[in-house]
Amino acid sequence: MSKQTIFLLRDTSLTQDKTRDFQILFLKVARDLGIEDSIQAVRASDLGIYDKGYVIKDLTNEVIYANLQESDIEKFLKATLMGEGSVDEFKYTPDKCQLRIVLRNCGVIDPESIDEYMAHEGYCALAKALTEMTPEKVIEEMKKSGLRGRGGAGFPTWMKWSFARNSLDETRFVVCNGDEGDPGAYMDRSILEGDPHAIVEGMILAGYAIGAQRGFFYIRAEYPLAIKRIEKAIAQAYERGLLGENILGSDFSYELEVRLGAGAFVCGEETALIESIEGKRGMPRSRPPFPADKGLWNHPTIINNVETLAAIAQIINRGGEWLARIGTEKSKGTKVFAITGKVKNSGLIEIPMGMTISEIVYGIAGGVLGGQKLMAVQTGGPSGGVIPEHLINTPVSYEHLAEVGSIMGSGGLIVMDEDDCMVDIPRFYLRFCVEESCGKCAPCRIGGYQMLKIIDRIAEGKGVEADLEKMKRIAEGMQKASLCALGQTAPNPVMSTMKYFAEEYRQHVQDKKCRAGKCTKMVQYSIDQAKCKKCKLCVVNCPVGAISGSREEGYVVDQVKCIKCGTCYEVCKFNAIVRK
Amino acid sequence: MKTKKLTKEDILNACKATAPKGDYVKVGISTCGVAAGAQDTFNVFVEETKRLGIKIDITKCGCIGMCYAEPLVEVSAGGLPTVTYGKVDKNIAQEIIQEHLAHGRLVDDAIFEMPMNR
Amino acid sequence: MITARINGITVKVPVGTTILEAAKKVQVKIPTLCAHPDLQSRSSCGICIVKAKGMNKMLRACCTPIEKDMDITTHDAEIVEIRRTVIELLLSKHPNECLTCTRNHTCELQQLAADFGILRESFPQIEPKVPYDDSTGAIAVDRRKCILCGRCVDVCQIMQNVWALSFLERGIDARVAPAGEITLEESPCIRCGQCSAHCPTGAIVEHDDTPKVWEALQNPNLHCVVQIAPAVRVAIGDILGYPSGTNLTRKLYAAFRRLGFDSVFDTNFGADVTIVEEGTEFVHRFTKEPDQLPLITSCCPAWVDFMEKYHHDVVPHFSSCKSPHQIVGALAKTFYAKKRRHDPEKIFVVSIMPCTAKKHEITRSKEMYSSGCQDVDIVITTRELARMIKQSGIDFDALVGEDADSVLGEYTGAGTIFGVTGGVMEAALRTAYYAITGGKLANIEFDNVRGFDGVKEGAIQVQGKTVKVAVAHGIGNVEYVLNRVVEAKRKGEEPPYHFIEVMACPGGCIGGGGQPYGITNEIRAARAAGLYEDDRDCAIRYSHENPSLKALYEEYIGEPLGNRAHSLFHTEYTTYSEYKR
Repeated sequence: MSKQTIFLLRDTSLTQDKTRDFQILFLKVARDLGIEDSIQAVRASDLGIYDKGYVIKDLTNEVIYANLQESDIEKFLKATLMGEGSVDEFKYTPDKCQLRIVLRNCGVIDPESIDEYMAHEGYCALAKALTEMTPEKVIEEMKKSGLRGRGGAGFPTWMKWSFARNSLDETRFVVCNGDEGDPGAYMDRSILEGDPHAIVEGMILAGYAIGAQRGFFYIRAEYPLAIKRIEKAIAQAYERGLLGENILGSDFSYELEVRLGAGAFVCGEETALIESIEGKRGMPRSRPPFPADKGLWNHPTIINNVETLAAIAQIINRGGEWLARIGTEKSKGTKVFAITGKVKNSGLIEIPMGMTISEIVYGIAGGVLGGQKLMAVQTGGPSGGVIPEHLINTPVSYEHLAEVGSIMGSGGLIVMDEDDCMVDIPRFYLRFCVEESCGKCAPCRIGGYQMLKIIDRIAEGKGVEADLEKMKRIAEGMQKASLCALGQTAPNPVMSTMKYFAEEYRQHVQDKKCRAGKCTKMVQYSIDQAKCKKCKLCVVNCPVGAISGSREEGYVVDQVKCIKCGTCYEVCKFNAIVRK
Repeated sequence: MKTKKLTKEDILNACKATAPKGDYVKVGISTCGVAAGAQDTFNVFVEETKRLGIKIDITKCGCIGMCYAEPLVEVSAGGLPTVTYGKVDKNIAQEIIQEHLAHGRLVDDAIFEMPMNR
Repeated sequence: MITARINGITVKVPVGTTILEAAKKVQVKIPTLCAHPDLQSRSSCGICIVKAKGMNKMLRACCTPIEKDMDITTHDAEIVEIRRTVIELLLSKHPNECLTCTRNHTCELQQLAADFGILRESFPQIEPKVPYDDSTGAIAVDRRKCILCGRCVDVCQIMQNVWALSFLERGIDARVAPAGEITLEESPCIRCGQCSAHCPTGAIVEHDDTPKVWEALQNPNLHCVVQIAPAVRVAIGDILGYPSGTNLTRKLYAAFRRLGFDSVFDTNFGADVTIVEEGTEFVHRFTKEPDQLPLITSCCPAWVDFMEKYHHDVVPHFSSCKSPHQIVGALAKTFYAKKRRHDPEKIFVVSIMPCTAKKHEITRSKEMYSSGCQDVDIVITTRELARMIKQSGIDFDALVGEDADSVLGEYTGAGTIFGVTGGVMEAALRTAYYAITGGKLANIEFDNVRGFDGVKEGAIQVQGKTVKVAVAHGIGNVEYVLNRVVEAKRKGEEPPYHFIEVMACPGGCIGGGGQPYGITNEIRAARAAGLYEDDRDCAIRYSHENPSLKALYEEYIGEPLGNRAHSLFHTEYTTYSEYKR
């Protein structure tokens, strides 16, 4: 008989790890009961459950028990292994957990094997669509699902498709937008690398639905592994007759190829992406006409994000209504997020729409790193905004995020704690946008640059009151007069922090102070001689040798040499380093 | 060799006939995993199992999601439940081979899980 | 037709009309900086934004087609404020040098700043370190003044198909330059100057040669000769306050004398010579060497440059005849010098041209020194001449018209239409018809080579044979014609055309790169009409009947294509292999 396997997890609310003691006790109790041979008790590192006392997972039966005490061990073992009594009161079901639809195969199948994909319902949707469904029916199913574009703007996918489908021009294209570029976002890359066939299948289905003859993967060249796997997937699909002439014996013929993006963020914007595929400089075109009307080489073209395409096959397999049951009224299905920043468990998660930010941060990602206080959460990357702590219960959906002044974006979610400066963070994003501006239109090209200069000045402690008004004025010009979303949204991080953290801007401008100490030009480190114990830890750790002195005379920071990295402040055990 | 073109029936049969998989070690090899050293981990499994004469499938998979715990390795062997090990450097990889694969004992302090539905 | 509303006024326009055009119908001028009627709007400046009821984003009027029942607001406090912000942003990356800029008073940015009452500098000046490029000697590029509207890039790439200019770098560092950090001189630039004629600011202007002209006029040892190209006379009025297309030939002659020129000639005379030479060349090929057909005109220096760089395959088809002003230059320093006993070395020939490429042409090859010295000393454009007239304090309007000087001043109607697309063809056909048949045409005006279609094709019957002709203007339109020729040649077929006229600038020289700013098709049409009227007003409308020309051939040249003609009126071509597509 195989052993029952038990995971043990420590009580994360305790400062010291006592799991080992608990495990020893657990095994001792088991021995006393004479059942030590029928169990294997292992200490797990992380079960994704936090602040729930000792947690035990009965892996054989897939049951979790939480909030156990040392004194409950005997009761637990008797109940679970010997059938005496019950420990149902400790049973625990995580109230919030991920729902993996798009990521269902990521980390499960070998991405380089079409057979493994097929063993996981792969290409079933394609077979179904080609043999049982008209293209209109496919679009109808998409409409029922309520799926909206996952690239950021959230345009209903079916609508885009039907625009192209209804065009009089019969040369049509499908493009997979894999030019993911938001700092800290890697959802698309992970899907491309983890489940390439799902996207290939989505691309074929999209092509069938709109009546396209060709599809393009546009993937940034910085994703070599994603490119390799997609190319392999395409090759396998051709080999098996899932691409090319008369797919699965139907009338539908379709070609797929990969085009590489050369690293310009703006090429994620659909009209710039089109220019890039056409071999031109990646600069946005004006819309209308929209690509669904006049896209690649002026033919109807639908451009869908990787995540959108990865959901298509599932929708066709299980029906649009199935997806529509998940999520909120206006945002259906799930969303993949790359959660990063000051969070315990950074990673790739997929959650049903409508889950709150708080549930994501605390329930799924394990809370703020080091138990610090949460300051804000940024969604939508450089185009999004910050959501301050007091709005942390905002549900994740297109409509709710817009209400609080941010956007869904492509799925970057960055957690910030008290050590983050609410002037420095938007400054980073703005600099990113300024560097990535294509330079085509004046509001973005010059407006962004001037705005960056102003926020730089504020961060250097040289800001004046009028600067804040000037930034607002430029922001309005950029938002209203920029050609594409890059320029229109570039001021968002600055504007949202100015809205929610006005006091912090005031401190920077009037008091010349940076609370978090991130705006280094305003920060000075010095040593409080009264608190200093002369341990020399700061002297040893200073990377530039800016701290000198002796035990007798005390230590001082050379302000000229100091690069304000804050290492001394962090290493000092006696709070003797003063930051002001 | 020319591969046979698939038919609808082939596709439907393929997903029905999910034969029970044998024992396996699956290493998350996506860019994030590779950056964390997954390729080295993968190599250790291949070389060490070969050296010790342990017969087991060693395959690759995409991103498992728990990026903070990369490299991630999923192991299903020895009649034990399938588990995911995290932060699997060369040493832990050795330990997994010695303990889990060779002796059917799960490795302490290396298992990571995220609650999720598929 | 669709109906929509603009500022509450109902407007009915054809489908596809932009908001900008529709607004004009209801007397609303939406400000723009990048839009130009010659070009497809590239929507880069962000000034033409308007609001549409029910849309939360503002639309760009220059490129957004108006839709049925759209309710557009073109001006309100918010829109005006945003436009002002954008203009101020543009000004923050544009030097405040209006008073010392060529485009002072003609700059579109300056005008907008004035219209919007920009009374302050809201944003600190950004001073980019970008190279000044005057390497061509024809066009000067001051990138500090560039607002990146992209007109020049579209002109260079799409209208002219030259691809000398492109966007480099991105964001705040974005700039317009030849790809690969080279100068314009090293680039494929053909110096047509269309970029300068379309630039809204002083970022691309003609190379200013007026100081050299002033200097020469001041020099008592020099005998200064001036000649004026056909297209200048009907264009300069735009700057001097006349309706577009007004023919100012005789007033200009008077102004030249006031400026201090010793002799006033007319390039139209040279045009007549060109026709006689080129016409003879054509007749020779048509009747004796049909395998040498088609004959392609060569009086446009930008076109010559383009051919030398990109179209080596058609070099044998090029007329070897020089352009009219080079002919006048060569004759001024030979025939005229001899007749008037002037030392050719002391004759200074100034050509007033609608063209920047002519500035390069005068030194392009050894044949440009056929008189023994440089045949034409300086070329200035229409715009430069207008400045000189203004500087000299001449009350142009009050001037009484005068005549040109003999022996190089008399011209025919055929010579004057050289300035418009199709004109060279028309003039040549008149003479060629005579040369072949000995008779005169029933209808001297060739309607099918007139007008502004990019490529015009036609045929005339000459003694039972059909002469097939093609006319292309705007280099972007040339490829079609040449491809047909090359294709036929490759297949060993009869050439699709016997005679091809090419002018690099849209509309021909009347729309030249050195002409007054603000070119549109309406203005081109007015200027063309001015030249056609000049043609009709001429007593003589065949080049070969020009009495001065006849005298010239009798006294000095001899036969067309003869020895002296060859040495003074003809040139050779070089091919540059480094330019590839």
